[in-house]
Amino acid sequence: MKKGFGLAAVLVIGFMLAACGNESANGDMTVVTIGVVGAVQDQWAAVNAQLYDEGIQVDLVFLNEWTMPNPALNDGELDLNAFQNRVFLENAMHTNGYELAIVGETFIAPQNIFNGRADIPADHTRTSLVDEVEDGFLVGIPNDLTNGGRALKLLEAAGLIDIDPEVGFLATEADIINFHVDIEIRAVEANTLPTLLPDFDIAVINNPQAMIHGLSANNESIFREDALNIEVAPNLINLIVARAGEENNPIFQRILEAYQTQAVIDVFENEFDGAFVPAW
Amino acid sequence: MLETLIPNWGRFGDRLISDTMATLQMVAIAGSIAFILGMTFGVLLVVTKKEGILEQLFIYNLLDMIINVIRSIPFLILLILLIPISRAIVGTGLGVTGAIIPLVFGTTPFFARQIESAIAELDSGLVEASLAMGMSPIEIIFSVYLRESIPSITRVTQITAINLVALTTFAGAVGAGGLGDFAIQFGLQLRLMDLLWAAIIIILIIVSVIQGIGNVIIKWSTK
Repeated sequence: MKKGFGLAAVLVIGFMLAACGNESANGDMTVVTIGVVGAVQDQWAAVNAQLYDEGIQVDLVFLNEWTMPNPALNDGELDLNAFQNRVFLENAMHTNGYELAIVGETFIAPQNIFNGRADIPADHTRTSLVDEVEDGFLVGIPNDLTNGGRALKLLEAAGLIDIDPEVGFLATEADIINFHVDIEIRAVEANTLPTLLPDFDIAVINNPQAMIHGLSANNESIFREDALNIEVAPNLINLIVARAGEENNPIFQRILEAYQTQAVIDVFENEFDGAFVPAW
Repeated sequence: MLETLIPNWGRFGDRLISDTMATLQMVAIAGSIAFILGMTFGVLLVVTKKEGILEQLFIYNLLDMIINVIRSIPFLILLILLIPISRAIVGTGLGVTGAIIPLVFGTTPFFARQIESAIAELDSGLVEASLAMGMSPIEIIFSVYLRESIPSITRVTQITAINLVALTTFAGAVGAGGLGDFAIQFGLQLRLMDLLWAAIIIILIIVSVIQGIGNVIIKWSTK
């Protein structure tokens, strides 16, 4: 509960800052508001530390839904957002007509498959799960379009199913054309997946959620997304996004430079247990 | 015919049917349990309160507090907090089965309060007269409190049941599916507007049936 109150306070403060911020001068600091989703944002402290002397300050606005940062950016309530990959961005721009552009690339958080009731030995270097997964296994995936589609692609990579090649990363269960193992797939909310893990045989979990719930991507994963694979990576690398036309703003580019540094890699390695992989 | 009205029927028709069934199951099962529990707690609130026919302030205050606490927790949070309890009682936190316990918790306190206020509308002279006639508390509960408030109990049952239909939307978070979840996943996220409207129309039909049945009962009981 305490965490909840803390988060709520951060949200309120974030909104207040967003309301009066908007790349405004705060004393002699230039404040840039960035919309983010989820509590795992320690890397931004490393960014701010580098920019302090230059008079640039990044203020995070914590939003609790993946649907919120793009319209807020599009409507001018944020200066930037940093929460999505290319698949999500392109889908949002296509379906809602947002005019946004990419400032730069940040990291990849590879999805992993974890044991629930099943007892498959941990090994994230596996290339197939066909021999380990049994008929009748109940398999959990996230229920939002991009994470769920990505999870289905991961099950395909593990050799369990085939997906209609035309749909790409926005696949749904209706696009499964072939089951190599007779599994039952059930989609639940991404943040709830780790809590529901004991009710599944195995489940595909996003790295930030796994990390928050104490699941180690390095030591407990039974199958890992080949995230830096040349065909997959461009779609799944997380991005810093601005309104179209502002992506080359020198201040935004400077923030990107400060992000793409060893200081941020150190945060990924030391505090995130390898859950985030630098992808610039 | 169906294909012209709902172009994506071929791809998602099976899901629409199974999600309609999921909503109906959740509303029927959670609704029945919450109806019995809520009615019981509502009557308990009425009879144990100060100057009630079985005044028991300790029980009243305890019940009052529990109801307030549960009603203060947003349903989406309740849904996730109750996963371990669900697992202990019904064996899983997942799917329609796993959604029943949270839905009962989300509906019962609201319904108990509604029952309490429905019975409070009764003319107090009626209860005094029954006491003077020498009726026992049990007789008063069944033949005065419940019998005489059938129209208002029906009205609050309609409200609660329709509220429950809305709550089932959240149950998608634990993989229960349902029409609200279907509308979000395929209607909103995939922008398949035919599916969105199909789900909304089925929800509308369910709501109308609940409202219609209630109206018939009210008409019949106030004759």
